[in-house]
Amino acid sequence: MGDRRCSSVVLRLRDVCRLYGRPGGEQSGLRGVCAQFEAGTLAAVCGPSGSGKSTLLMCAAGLTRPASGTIELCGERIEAASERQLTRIRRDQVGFVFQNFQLIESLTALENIYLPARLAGRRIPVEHAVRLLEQVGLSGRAEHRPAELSGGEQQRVAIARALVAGPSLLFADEPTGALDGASREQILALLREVTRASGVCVVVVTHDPVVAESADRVLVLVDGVLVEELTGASRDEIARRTVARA
Amino acid sequence: MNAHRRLFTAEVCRRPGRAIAILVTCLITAAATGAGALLIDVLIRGNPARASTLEGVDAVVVAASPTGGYLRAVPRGTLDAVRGADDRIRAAEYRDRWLSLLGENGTATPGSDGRPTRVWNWSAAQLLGHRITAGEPPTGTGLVIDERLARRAGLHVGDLVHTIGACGAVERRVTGLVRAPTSRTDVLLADDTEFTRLPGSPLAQAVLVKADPGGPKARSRAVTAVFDALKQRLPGTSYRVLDPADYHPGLPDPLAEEIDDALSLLTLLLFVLLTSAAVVLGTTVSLWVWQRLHDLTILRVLGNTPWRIRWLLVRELIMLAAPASAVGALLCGLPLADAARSTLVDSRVLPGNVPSAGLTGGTLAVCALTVLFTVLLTLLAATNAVVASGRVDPASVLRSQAPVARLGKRRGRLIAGLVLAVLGILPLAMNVTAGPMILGAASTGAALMLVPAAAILSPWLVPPLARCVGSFVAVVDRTVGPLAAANVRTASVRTAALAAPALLAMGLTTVMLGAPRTIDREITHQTGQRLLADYVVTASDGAALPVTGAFPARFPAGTGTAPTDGTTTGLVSLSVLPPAQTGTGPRRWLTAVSVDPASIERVLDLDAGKAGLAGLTQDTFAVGRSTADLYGWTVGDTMELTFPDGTRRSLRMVTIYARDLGFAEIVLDRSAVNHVPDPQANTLLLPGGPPQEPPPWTTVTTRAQYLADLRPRSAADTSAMMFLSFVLAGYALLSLANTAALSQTEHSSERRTLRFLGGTRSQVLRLVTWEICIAVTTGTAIGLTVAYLGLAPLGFITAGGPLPDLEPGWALGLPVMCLAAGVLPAVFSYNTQRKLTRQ
Repeated sequence: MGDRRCSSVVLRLRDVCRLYGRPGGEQSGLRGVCAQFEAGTLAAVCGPSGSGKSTLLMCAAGLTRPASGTIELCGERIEAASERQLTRIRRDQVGFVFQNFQLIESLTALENIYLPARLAGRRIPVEHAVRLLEQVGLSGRAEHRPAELSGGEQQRVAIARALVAGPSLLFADEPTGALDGASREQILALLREVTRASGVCVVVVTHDPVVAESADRVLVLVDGVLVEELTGASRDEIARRTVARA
Repeated sequence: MNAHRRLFTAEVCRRPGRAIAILVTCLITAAATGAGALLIDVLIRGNPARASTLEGVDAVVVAASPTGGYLRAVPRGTLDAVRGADDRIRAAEYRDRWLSLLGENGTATPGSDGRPTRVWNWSAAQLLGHRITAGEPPTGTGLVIDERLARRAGLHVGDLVHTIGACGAVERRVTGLVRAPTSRTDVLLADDTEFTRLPGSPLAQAVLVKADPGGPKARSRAVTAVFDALKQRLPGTSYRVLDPADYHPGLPDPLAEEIDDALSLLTLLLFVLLTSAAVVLGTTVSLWVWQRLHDLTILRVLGNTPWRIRWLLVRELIMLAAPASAVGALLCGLPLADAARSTLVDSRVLPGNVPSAGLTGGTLAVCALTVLFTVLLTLLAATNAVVASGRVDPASVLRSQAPVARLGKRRGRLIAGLVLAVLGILPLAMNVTAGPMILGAASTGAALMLVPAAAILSPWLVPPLARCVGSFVAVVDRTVGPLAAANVRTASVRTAALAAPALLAMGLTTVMLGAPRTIDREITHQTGQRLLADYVVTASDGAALPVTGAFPARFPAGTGTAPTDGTTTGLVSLSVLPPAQTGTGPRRWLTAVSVDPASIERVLDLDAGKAGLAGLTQDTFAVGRSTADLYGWTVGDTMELTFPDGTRRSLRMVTIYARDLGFAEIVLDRSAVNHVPDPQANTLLLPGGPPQEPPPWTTVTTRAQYLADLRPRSAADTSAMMFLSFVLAGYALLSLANTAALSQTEHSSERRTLRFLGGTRSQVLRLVTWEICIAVTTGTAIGLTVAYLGLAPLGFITAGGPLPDLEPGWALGLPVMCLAAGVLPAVFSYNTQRKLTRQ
């Protein structure tokens, strides 16, 4: 999987704009966003509700097309890519972690992890999936279904699933939003470990300063505009900047 | 607007697909039920068979049959008793026989109804108001002919005309023409004494009564007087005094029989349709409740009691079912009834003069009842799901778990399914040693009960088999197959809901088309075994075959010749009533055939054992194996049999014949013809060489050709079964499509996740397809298996082996249609959701 991983800048956005609503009454979701994300880093996109965080994620992942601007993912322009190309890029280069886990209820933890590889038609050794399960600390839970796991455990399965195809970029949309404090710490530690050990670029979308604090850098998004980039900021400072800009 | 109504409105607006599924199911059910009920209503209220051919008299006196209805003859002395009842009563005996006019080319001139024309006695015609318009009343062998028939046949007073009747060909002179103002049939009239020379029972069929002066009061007085007189003068006989509209002269009225058959068919259709509707509605509502469990759990958390939640669902179901049923019954039921009527008329299941269901008060009443019934059926079918909905655990919300309520597997459902299955098997087990016909009927009945029972038990039957099918799919498609298999395994409620309509469609149509085909196969087989004759003679349109005075039948001189070596056998059908016997069901007339014992064994081999049929006399009879088994009769028993003219005779049973399928239940010697008021031979069986110059009013076929053309079942019966199967399959397929579309709404989140994970659109579509395929394949497999198991006893008793005969087109086509009905709406639903999500 390592040979497919792109080097240095994984994601680059230039003047990305995205409009919502019907023609004539559009509202801007993103306005001229420029940013880049490097491999082996953990970035947080922070901002109040309605600031455009999820829209940014959707555009960056090729799930929504921007109105203007360019998006480069692992060296490939995706803003005008075909549906087939986008599917391939998502499958090969991008992993997703959601707030509500989005595990397939009918599959076991191990089967959930293995699912992206199966969809891609790749023959990944089952040991690889088992190893990932061990990596997220769930070696004894391979045959459990999501309903039999706690929220934190489900999110760890979701992270393992996002990593199984060896992506260059991992998007995490409010990954700790549905978890308690202890589970949140475990998940953040896991994301940091993934970033460090695998060299994956992790982009966490959150409005929680505690989550943002654990990132290498924090991008503050307000009303669809990237207003500030913080590095090494404390949770109080992030909270203050976010509120002040809102 | 109260809170619950707002909640309902919000739910419908947010997820219209769920409500639409219930609406569509109720609409289809109401439309199909309404159409069936309207047709039944039309047949009962506007029965065209009630049109009388004897208008013009006030009453018809007939002898009552022990089984209800009336006999085809009245005892001697009836006329005198009626005449002596009152001075103001005029009466005449009524005699009615078939008699065909032969044209110049020797073919018969049919009546306006396409059947052989009838000849009545002159005194009855006079009482009915027939008036001579040219010539004189009939004398000797002379005939008076209806003006319309004479015009059509080109006949005039004084012409000589050849006729063919029960006594063979006779040359007759046309003595006059008559106008029958109220008669609906083309009629010939002959002198009363001529009837005493014809073969058959010498008794009159009825006595016609006319009261002077006319009017309801006079009629009522006359009926009372006639009753009293008959009671006083002929105390040993039961009589009925009928309105002329209720009397159908001659042979059993084919129109009335068609109406009765159609009513039976529609009643069966409604029964099976409603059973299927209950199952389909039950599974659809279960799915609907299952998908709403999360919302219902939140309502529980917010303080609603279980019964309040159930009441909420009941109200919602009424709000959905009532308007849908109203639209279905009123707007769709009426056109559907008309369309069904046209189809049934075209396929000759219904007579052509059945009226359409117009927009009358009666129609509206039937529609209103249909609406009420559909709503009640919906609530009844939903009982299981509604009761279970109150058992949701509010704590599951706090634990962030999926709410659980055991919707599919309820004890009540299990018991209902098992009871239905036992009710189906019980008659089969009780008749396992009975003859082929009884076992065949029990087998078909069992299969028709077992299939709905399997549908009710689908939450228990479907999951294990679905796992097997899923495992196969997982091997075939290693990409999304395992996920499809896992989804099917986990969501057993949804899988059972999808499988149930396919199970019903496959199972019911297999039984309804397979059972008659299996019996037909055996009839064809037995006919081939028993028919020894080299040639079979039947009558062409508009004629019948004579029984003649010199039995066996011979072709009349001058119109053809036939072997006169005493080997020709004419089969004359009649019916006889056995004595009342407990444990054999309602007393009924048995089909019988009168044969010539001297020649029967040269043309028919009924497998009658050593005794054979050659020894039949006027005091003995033979019985088919099925009938003997049913009544427990053994050789040597003496039975008092009642003949069609009411004569009772004690006959001794001399043999039992085995090849009775598709043949008469009883065989009598030729003297039985003397107790049939209007005898005619159905077929003449000829051994040896072909007949020389057969008359043009006959059709001669070789044995091989006869067997090749043999259709044990009438085209109308086949059409009726096809119609029934089409309606049921159509209903089940629509329900399947509906459920398949509904089942996709709960999957939108999973489908989106798959796309996030890199799944292509075609992979998601494949997943949708596989899920439906697994459920539908499981359903059709169970339906087919249950139908086969139910019909297996029938297959065993026939020569074709343990497997019943299937309609190949259906057996192959229906599973494909089920798959299409499931997959296409599911894919369409997925695409619609995808587009909505994108917007």
